[in-house]
Amino acid sequence: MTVTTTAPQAALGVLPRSDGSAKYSHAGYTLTASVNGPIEAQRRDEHAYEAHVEVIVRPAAGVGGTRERHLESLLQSSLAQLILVKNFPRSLIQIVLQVEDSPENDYVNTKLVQASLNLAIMPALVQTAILALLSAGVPMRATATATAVAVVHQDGAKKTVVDPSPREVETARSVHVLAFTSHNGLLLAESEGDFTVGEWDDVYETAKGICCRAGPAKEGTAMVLDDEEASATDMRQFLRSTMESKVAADLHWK
Amino acid sequence: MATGHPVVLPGETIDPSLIPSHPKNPLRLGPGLRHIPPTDIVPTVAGQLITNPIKNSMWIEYNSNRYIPSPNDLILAQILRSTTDFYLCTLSPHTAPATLPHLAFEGATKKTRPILQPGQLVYARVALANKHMDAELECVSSTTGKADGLGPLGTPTATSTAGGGCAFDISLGFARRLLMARSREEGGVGVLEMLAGEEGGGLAFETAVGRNGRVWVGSDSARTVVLVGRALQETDRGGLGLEGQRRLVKKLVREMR
Amino acid sequence: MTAPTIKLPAPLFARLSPHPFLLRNLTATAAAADPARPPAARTNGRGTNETRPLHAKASSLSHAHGSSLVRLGDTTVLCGVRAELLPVERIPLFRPVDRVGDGERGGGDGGDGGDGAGEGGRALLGRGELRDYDLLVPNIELATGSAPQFLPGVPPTALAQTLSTRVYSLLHSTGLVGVEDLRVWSKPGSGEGGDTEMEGAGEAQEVQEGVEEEDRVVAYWVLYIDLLFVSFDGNPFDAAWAAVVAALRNTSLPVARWDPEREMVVCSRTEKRQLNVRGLPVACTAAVFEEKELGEVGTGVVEGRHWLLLDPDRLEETLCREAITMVVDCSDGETRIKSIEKQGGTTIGRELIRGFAVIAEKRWKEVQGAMK
Repeated sequence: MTVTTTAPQAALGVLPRSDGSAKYSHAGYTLTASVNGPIEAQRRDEHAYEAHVEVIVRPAAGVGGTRERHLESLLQSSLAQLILVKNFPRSLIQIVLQVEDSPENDYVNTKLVQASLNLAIMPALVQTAILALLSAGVPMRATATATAVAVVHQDGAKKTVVDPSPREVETARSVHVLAFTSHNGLLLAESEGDFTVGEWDDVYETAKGICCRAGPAKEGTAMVLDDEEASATDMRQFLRSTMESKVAADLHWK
Repeated sequence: MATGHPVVLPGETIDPSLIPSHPKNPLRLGPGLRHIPPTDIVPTVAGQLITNPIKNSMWIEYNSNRYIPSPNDLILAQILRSTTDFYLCTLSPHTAPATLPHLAFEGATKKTRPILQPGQLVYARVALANKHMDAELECVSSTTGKADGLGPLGTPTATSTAGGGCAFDISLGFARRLLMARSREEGGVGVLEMLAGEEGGGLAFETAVGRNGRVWVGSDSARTVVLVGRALQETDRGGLGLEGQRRLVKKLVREMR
Repeated sequence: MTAPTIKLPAPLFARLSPHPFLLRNLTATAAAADPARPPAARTNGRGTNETRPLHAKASSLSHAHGSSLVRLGDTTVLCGVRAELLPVERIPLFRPVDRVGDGERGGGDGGDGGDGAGEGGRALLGRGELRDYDLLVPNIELATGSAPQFLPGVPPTALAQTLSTRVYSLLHSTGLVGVEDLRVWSKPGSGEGGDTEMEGAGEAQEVQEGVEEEDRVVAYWVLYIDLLFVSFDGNPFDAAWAAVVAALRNTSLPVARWDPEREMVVCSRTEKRQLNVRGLPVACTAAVFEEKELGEVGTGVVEGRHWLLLDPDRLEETLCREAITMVVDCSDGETRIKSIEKQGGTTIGRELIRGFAVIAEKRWKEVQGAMK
């Protein structure tokens, strides 16, 4: 099944009982996140000077395993950098991410026992968490955007694929996930496979073009982009328009 | 209000031309903004940037569900339990309790302090809110020594005759609109006036709106309490305008008869 | 200089306020500019770009098929590799494999004929089998008492689970072990056979299938890679990964062969075959220490100074939020990056990652020397 490169979609406030929530779907992944906080932290999580950020990732089926713990620790360390944790000492900000749907893969012998999550889900996790945090009105330093890029060697030529399908991830030379803050800082960089510094540089340019489009001036002409698909997705603009419609709905009485 | 107010996201730079510059008054920052010395003013939440050049103030208008105590807010608290010197009250679920001293009531002394049972609702003011401490509440004005309408709700007191009542959860933005001095004109909420007016057939009830997203409705008739509570909640969730509120009130009154 | 009235012995200072202690250490010597003293040093006496020497000892366990003991300063990891046979009948959704020379494709790796390039291309082959049948099973245990934060009788900590996942992903993405080494064929290849076979005690597995003329895979070796942290003083991943590589390089599997008469796989008692380990990926970790304690990031400008502390110890790890791990392999002469993991902050940007590749290269040479 090829992943349809449609624009990402999001809905905010889908769970009325939580402080903030978001449903996000992009590149075949659908996730729902809820954010609660600041609430009272358990004694062992309590920190005297800052809020404890707890991230829970639940897979679509079954209970989470070590892989989910790894994703949680990655998200936790990234989101704690964005949230103004020092505004809420001794409290807890809890983010629960439920994977609802991930792209199916007809080629790969999917494991029956444990549906393993891979790196490619990371951008969706980051985006959903950020949207839910914004929906909850949790004070933050900055927002962030993330994307996945795969370098595929096909017929002797290198190709950079944005939002790779599981099939492409499986056959790719290297897979990269990069997240940028809204101040263009590199928040998260996870890469695996086999690549050189030069290849990583190209990937960085591609990812930056998607995550932090700085107005009309596009930087880096050397990037090997998959034509119009890359120019269609502008994560920062997406985040902004999603929030604009949320704010407009909230402040309809103005 | 003017519609030209921009929507900002956390961490975005605010156009310097939007920052009010008053020759004398110091700049006042409201919710959703933080000042990074020396000169940066950065939003921390997503919302609409509102500036008031006359008062030289700016803030972010947004809606949320989690109440963070701030001094002088009127809130609706629920007594959790009593200790030797103060009551512990909840302002919102799963948060650390706020304290309400036994003596922070009108005319309270060591001997005449009010005895409140767990579960009792209290309309109070936030006296002290600090991120490192639990919030402290009061039911008396520290300058005048008068209650000014604050105190336990739902029991016959000097200010209230209604016996029963019920608290309803609403969003923080809606609570703020209800508390506006001219809520119909500024906040676009006329549902309470309508219920008491001709659309609602002149229902008799009392309300106490807490900034923590809770509103108490008291009336002699349980039917009225439920009707008013539902009207408030549906106005909030449905994002109804004045005309929608009028239709809602008419519909609810018809159903209740 | 500290205020003259208060004099604290260094260990007490470190205990009371670790962040200023480390900061003072990093800045004091630099400010003194004394040519006799080394430039800025950390509390452990190392320079910012100085790693602890890595000591690797192979074959430290007698009952495992391969083992290693790796010491990185006070971080000590013991790694044992145990191989067990997995008959294909026990594999749900097994997809038969043909022996078509090097061009064979395992289970999920069908198609994609254009993948011609040497080493990386070969690493791809059989990745599907290794993953689908779970032929590599790493597990990490942080022994009670290896560091004060590990308590007895608790479920595996998030750290242990995270490390296991990282080792697991890296094992697969680097293609360190090829699936061809783990396959057992029904017809022995040339150069094998003629040995005194016997049932390996716990390893010979019954295989109930009719006699087939065709050469086919009858079983797989499953490698259980167990890591035990004997003592823990920071930088667990580098040590764990070095131990895994050293142990796999030390692993020899008994020669296994299909016995058509008894319809089971039998292992040779004496004959062993060294496991083929491709390349030598080396992990290199650094943590970012920021001048401002609980510092603020994300305002665009990096506030205050920061230091990249290579091979952080336990104290340094608790004081740093941002960390980077880069896995490189220079065994082909060219530096290939196998993995980058950077998280927890925005200090490390593009330039620092580029520069870090050079540091990782240097580390690779050190580790290569230690692994010989």
